[in-house]
Amino acid sequence: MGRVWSILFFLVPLAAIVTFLLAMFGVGPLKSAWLPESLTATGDLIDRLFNGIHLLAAVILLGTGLTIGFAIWKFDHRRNPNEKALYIHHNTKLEVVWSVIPAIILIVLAIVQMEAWEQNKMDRPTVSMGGVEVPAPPIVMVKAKRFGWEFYYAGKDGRVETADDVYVENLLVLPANEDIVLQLESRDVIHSFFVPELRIKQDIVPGMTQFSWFNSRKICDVEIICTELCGWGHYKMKGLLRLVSRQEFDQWLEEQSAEYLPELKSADSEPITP
Amino acid sequence: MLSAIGCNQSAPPEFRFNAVELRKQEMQHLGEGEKFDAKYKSEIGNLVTSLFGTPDDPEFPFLMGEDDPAQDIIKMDYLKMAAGAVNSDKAGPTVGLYREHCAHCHGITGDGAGATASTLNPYPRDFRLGKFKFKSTPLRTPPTDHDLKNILVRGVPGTAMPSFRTLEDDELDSLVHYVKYLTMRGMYERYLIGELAGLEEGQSLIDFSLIASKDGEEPSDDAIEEFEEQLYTFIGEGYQEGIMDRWLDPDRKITEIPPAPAEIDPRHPDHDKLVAQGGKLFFSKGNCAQCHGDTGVGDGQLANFDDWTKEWTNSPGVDPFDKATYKDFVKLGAMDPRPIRPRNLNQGIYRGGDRPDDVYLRIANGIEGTPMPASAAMNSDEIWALVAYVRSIPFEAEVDQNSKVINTQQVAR
Amino acid sequence: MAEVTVGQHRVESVEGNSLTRLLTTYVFATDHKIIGLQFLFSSLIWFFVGGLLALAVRWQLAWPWSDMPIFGSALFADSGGQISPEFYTMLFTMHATIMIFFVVIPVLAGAFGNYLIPLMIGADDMAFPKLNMLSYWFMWPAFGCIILSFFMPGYGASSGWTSYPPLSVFAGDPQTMWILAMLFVGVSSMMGSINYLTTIIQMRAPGMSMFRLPMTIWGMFITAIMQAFALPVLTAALLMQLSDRLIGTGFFLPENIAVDNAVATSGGGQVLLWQHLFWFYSHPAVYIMILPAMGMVSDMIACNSRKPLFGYRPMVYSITAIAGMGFIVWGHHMFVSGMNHVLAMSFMVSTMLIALPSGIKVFNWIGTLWGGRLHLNTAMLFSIGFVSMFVIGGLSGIVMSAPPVDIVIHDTYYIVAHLHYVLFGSSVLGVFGAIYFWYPKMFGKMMNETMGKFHFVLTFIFLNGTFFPMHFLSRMPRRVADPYVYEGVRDLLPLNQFMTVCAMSMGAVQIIFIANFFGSMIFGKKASRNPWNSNTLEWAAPSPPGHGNFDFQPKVFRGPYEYSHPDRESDFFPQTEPRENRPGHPGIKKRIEETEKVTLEAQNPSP
Repeated sequence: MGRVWSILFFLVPLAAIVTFLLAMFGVGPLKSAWLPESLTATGDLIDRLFNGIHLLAAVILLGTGLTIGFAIWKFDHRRNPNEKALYIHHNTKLEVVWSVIPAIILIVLAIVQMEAWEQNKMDRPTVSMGGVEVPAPPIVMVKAKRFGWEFYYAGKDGRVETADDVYVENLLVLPANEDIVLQLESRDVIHSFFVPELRIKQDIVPGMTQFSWFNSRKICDVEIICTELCGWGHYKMKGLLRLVSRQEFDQWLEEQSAEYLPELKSADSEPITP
Repeated sequence: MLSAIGCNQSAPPEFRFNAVELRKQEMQHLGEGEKFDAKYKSEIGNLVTSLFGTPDDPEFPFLMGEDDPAQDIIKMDYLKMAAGAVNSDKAGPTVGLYREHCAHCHGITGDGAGATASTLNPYPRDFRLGKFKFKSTPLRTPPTDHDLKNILVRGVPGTAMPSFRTLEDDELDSLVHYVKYLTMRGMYERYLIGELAGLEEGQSLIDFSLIASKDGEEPSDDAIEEFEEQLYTFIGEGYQEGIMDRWLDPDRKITEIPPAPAEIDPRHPDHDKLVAQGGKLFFSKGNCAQCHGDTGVGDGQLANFDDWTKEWTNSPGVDPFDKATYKDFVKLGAMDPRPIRPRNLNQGIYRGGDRPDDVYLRIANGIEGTPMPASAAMNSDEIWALVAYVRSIPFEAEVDQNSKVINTQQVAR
Repeated sequence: MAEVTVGQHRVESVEGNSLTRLLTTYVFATDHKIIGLQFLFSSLIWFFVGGLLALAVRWQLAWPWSDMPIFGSALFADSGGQISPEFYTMLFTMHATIMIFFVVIPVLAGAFGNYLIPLMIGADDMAFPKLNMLSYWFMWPAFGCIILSFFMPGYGASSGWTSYPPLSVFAGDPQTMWILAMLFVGVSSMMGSINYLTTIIQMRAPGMSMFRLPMTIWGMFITAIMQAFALPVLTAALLMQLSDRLIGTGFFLPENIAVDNAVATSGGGQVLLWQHLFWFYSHPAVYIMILPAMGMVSDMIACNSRKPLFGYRPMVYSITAIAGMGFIVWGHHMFVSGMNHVLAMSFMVSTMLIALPSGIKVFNWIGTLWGGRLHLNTAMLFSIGFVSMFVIGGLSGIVMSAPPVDIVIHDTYYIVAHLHYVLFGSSVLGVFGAIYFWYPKMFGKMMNETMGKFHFVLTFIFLNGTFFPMHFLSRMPRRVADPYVYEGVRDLLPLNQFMTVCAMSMGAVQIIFIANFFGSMIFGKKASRNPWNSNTLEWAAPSPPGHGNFDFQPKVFRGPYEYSHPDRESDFFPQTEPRENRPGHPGIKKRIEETEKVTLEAQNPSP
């Protein structure tokens, strides 16, 4: 029986590695598994980490899994009926080896990933204002609510939270190929702003203002997912993020503003001098 | 184990009978403790089902031929798309949209009493009254398809109604049609229940036995005439004229919105003047402060109810503040009455939309089903001033952007 | 059960009629073994309830909004068996709550902790038997609250087992019941942990030094320390949330928020505060849910390998390290929560480092297997299954301990995969193994090995079929009633259906276990004192042990893992066996002989 059991345990790492490779290369039923194509440079960095750590994990899994399987294969008492087991309590050298090597690997891992985290969460893009680099202002204020996304675009005055904000529900149109900063706030409970393709996720905590930023290299439509339980309608919090060219974005925003501003709607009104 | 699962299939869902309306009619027209004959319930159910079908297999009256008038209201293809069980896990055409997206709250019947409804504030809309709040048409006029679709696309801010912008266009259309279908079905059912009080003892609404052949004899001409008379009364007059015709081509009655004055733009130099003018109207001619309160927080009057509640709390002997008097209704499926709060205008949340045009419509037309009246006394200029004022209320005490508490990380930088 | 456990109980101290005697012996018992069994049985019942909820969750994920068996037709007949979304949130909330607080923690600390601690250290009972009884009976108000909440509007709490405010503060009445239940569970665990600590420190048999304790006891000991330090924080946080809900204090509510148009009037609170307090308990709780299992698995592997546990001291040091570091890693649950991003870096480093002792344990288990003479009985198979699943769970833990990677997989099914590999793949497999291993001691009968092996292999296969594919669903958000509203997830439906079929099969397989468990009480072969030829103390007591446990005064002469000693003929060397013939110890021979005489008389009563 020992051999049968060892095959079962051999299968664990082997099946894991096979499905792992299938997912990594997107084959068969795992075609759309794991992560969608990354649209940002930070996302590429995260993907490299994701794949790298998984490869490392795969090697360890293979190593330990095969050892377990082999031990069952070889050391079943029925195959060695007349011998006693080894009488070993410990091996200090071995203990040191398998403590120090993983420790070094983990510390390297810890240092390597800091860059991606910094780009994604700590280094907010800056703009030059009067010769001074200041954090780039948000282009949109995202108000998360049960159950949907409110997007308040800075109107003509370039500031959010003023009377000329342009309000759009569940549709976020943004220009690609430039640094975008979003201001995230919640109206009620905790939500989380997740765009898998952009590799950004930030919980939106009521009472706090968060910022998130990205720079998409591609023009396309992606989905906004809420990833923090916000009540029964959590699954209804799907938003659409449309990444367009700058020109298209300006035109779209103009159209939206027209709903709010009479001079754009009716051509015969007098022009405004602010 | 799998066989146990197989045995456990539920029956297909059915439309729920409007028991609240029946109870109300009984209280209004019959003596204490009396009830209508139980046969009417099944009679009404059969009649409504014969015209409108079932949740899995909807039908619509006057939709057979190309020229039938209902073609302008309902497209059968759309109804089929929205009706039925959800099939998101199966390949093939999309069906079951209503039950996938709407039925949890609005209920299979569109009675606003789905499984989730009681946990929501405000309650989900009960379509059966045929009243819709946010529309471009005047009071007592059905909304346009565009109005209904607009609600689906934008959601209703400040309520649990989410935006369904990410659905396909034809999916949205099909849901609009299904909402109209449920509305007219519910209105017709209510109408029939309302007719019960006028019937004589034992009389049927539509008596099919009149045209049934008895003992091999053909029914008499008198009987056929009486049957046709009933058909005319309860379907021709009651449904076609009373309900369906009102929904035909509502585009004609859309309220015209005059162009907004340029001052409505917050950057216009005279914007403040317009706001000031609106502010005066808020307290005087518009009489807004009476309900919305002097500061616009919605504390002016707190003991009124919306029409969906008044609909049954107006029955004799019912006091919406006294649970003992209305607990029968709650058992029959009515929601616990909650007073309707005038909107808090300081939040910057506008259920019907925040664009100046939207706010204009709310003020000019009032809001159907609520105590918010249409402003008959004001001309369009005054309404625009009021719009400017209302939209400025949330920003009256505008705080400095930079003083906000933000992530400590950001402060440190 | 009564007849089986009545066996060799001595009840002469109990007075009164037979009913009172029955009540005091089996219901309001102060005997640690009865209390342990009470915990075991109530956990098994809740395991069934929690499993049913999990299957309902899986059903919705595989066939969303279709007619759900049992739940749908019973509760949602109106809508053709289609459940409502808040019912779904209730399902996963209660599944997690029940599995964590009513199954895994009570079965590990409550059932096995109670049953094994006095036996393995050679004591006749716990230090505080009445407190012990109270710790079990404080579970019942918690059970009552949860059962009651199932009949309240909403059919149970639905804010997730993490109960994050503001959602939980504005949630319906079942949430209050949930908080009360958690408070009672906390009090129960607290009483248990104080008892375990005192017992282990004070009541060890003569000769049982700390470093002669079996790993099981070390696991329980460290767990009890963690509970004693972490639970007060949870209790305080729960009371704060309760007062936020009931008297409007607003510890966790900021200003200007409104849920369902119910405005929070107080304000001035901080939402993140709850998360810090909650995870300060709940991350150590993760180790509370695994350390006892690790200990038991160590014992089972060493015994069934017939080989000394490899690296006993490193094993002890590493669980101690896990416990210590377990208190400073809670922030890794909050990488994207809005917590200071620099802080995330330090939590990342501590989290990475906690992988180290876990790794050391795995290597030592493998080291124990290596060169052994493996007896592949059911308990051993479950133990090896534990190690093999723990490797997967641990490795995915390293993946998500990297904050940048956590950005993408946080709150997705990747997390669900990880936690189920650790909680189900490891803890529950460990518990199954422990039941097969200690069943002879508990009930005096052997369990059926063939059924046990079928139970193992099928559970093992279906468990991997259910949870391994979840690793690939890293774009599918968790806790979502209908994930297929998202286009990107729609393709993953067939995979989810496969997982659901596996999950249901896994549920069905447990019937074998139930049949074996109860069947063996009646039809099982009678168990000898030491059926596994194990060294530890409990096997020197009768099976099942009577009141007072040992029919002799146990004395301990050596560590628990002296298997296959080269100087001995038999391949085991019980801790109580008074023969010290290791070379280099002639000086103590006399003392040994003295104790030998006493112990031998007690241990081998003339037939």
